[in-house]
Amino acid sequence: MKSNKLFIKILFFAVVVFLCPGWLFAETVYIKKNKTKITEESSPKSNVVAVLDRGVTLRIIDKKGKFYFVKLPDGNKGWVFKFKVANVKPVKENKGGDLFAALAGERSLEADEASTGASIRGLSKISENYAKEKRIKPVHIQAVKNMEKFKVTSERLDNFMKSGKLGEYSEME
Amino acid sequence: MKWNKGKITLMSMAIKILRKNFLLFLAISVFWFILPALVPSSAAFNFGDLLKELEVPEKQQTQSKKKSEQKKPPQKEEAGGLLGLGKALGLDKNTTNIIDKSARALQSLRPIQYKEEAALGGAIATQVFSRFGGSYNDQSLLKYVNLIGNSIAMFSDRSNIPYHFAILNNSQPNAFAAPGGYIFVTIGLLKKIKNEAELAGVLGHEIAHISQKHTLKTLQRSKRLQGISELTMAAMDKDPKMFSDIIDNISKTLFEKGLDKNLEYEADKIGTEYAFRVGYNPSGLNDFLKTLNKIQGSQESIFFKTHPSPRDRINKLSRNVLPNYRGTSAYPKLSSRFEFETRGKL
Repeated sequence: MKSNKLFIKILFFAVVVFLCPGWLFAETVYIKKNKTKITEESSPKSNVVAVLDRGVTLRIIDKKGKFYFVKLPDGNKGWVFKFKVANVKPVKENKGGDLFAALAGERSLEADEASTGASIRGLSKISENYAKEKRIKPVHIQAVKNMEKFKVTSERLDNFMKSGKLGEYSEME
Repeated sequence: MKWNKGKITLMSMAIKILRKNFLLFLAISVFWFILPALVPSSAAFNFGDLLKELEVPEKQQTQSKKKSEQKKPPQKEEAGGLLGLGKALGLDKNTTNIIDKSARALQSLRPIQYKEEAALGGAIATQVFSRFGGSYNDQSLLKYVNLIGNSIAMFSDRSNIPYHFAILNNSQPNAFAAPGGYIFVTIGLLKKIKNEAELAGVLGHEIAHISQKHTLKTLQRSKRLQGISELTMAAMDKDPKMFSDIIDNISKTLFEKGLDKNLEYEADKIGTEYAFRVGYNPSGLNDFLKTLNKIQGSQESIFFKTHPSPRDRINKLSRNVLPNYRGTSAYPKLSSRFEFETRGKL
């Protein structure tokens, strides 16, 4: 009898938890890259609902293959390729989320700025000086600079994925 | 009838429990409803990342102690925060020194930041070109490697830094990853590759070394660099010898000793996952390792000295990694695209 009561108690708790609203367990994810498209259907060919920047918070409502049906911060809903979002809010590289650096007065530039523009462009002075001191030929120093200059546009990358049926264009489930 | 009786008993007991524990249920319900408002991203908590943040390089605390005892000119760039606070508050010399020492110790605890990582990587990159035949200048081949590499980097766990890819004019099959996103493959390696999925597996492996900061972790654990407590741009600018020592240390690891074999296995596992995320057949890296296994002994390459044997890597992948990708045999390997893109260029 006593064990029956305990069982019913546990069952009751389980029912209470089960009845909790679904959104309570909704997974939160974050956009990994700028210009990520949210589409109307779970296909990159469908209409674009929104184009989001890195770090935007989304709530997963449903999952289908490699796509998530998500709720946007403005209340709109749409589909996103699951590998374009992360479970952890993207950390700004140079701050590294560390309190220590802030306490020690460290002020440095962020990697995002590095990739998009002005802050860290090309081979740093200290790296170049090192190479010169080690008598590395100028052609090899230039090779590093060329390597850094080589850019692939997001449109070209998108076309590459599309033609290879890769990423969100994949036909595999 | 019996069932009805049981049902009634069950319901009446449930009501009894609800009555008895009404306040408790009410509290639980309120808690559940309030929780998301209090912690909006509670579901996104990742203990692994917390550990990453808290990771303290071995012996670094003692290093900073030693270093702070050495006489060192104050660095203007780091004069904010706690540094100089004692002086600003007009405290006595001893207290000021204690505050400054603490600030430097705190600074030494933080991970190497991207700016410094890119400086180290840039210097290593010049070494790579210098030691391995320089750049292989075929722009369309380079574009192809960059497209595959950037596709993988985009779906990696560290997609917020720029990645740079280059082809080395060296006939030995090899690939390198330098901190900060510099990745190299030799023309000798490209000649052994059979399809795009294999190349994606190799590039995924190299990107995993960078996303997991394998070289930096190895550097931070290096006993030879115990005396270095501050790996900041300011400190490296002021002390080119220190910068040079660090590059020599990384060079020795990458070009002579190799990384710890467990880091290589980890890069195999994560690299396979990255290639899979893009949509490639996850067997790519494993297939390429089989090719390397066949040529080991017949072909000279420092690759075989700096990596665990292809046989061991294949065993680990087959046993621990590939079983996670069952049902993916139909995923594309893109052999014909690889052939088309590389024809007459290798």
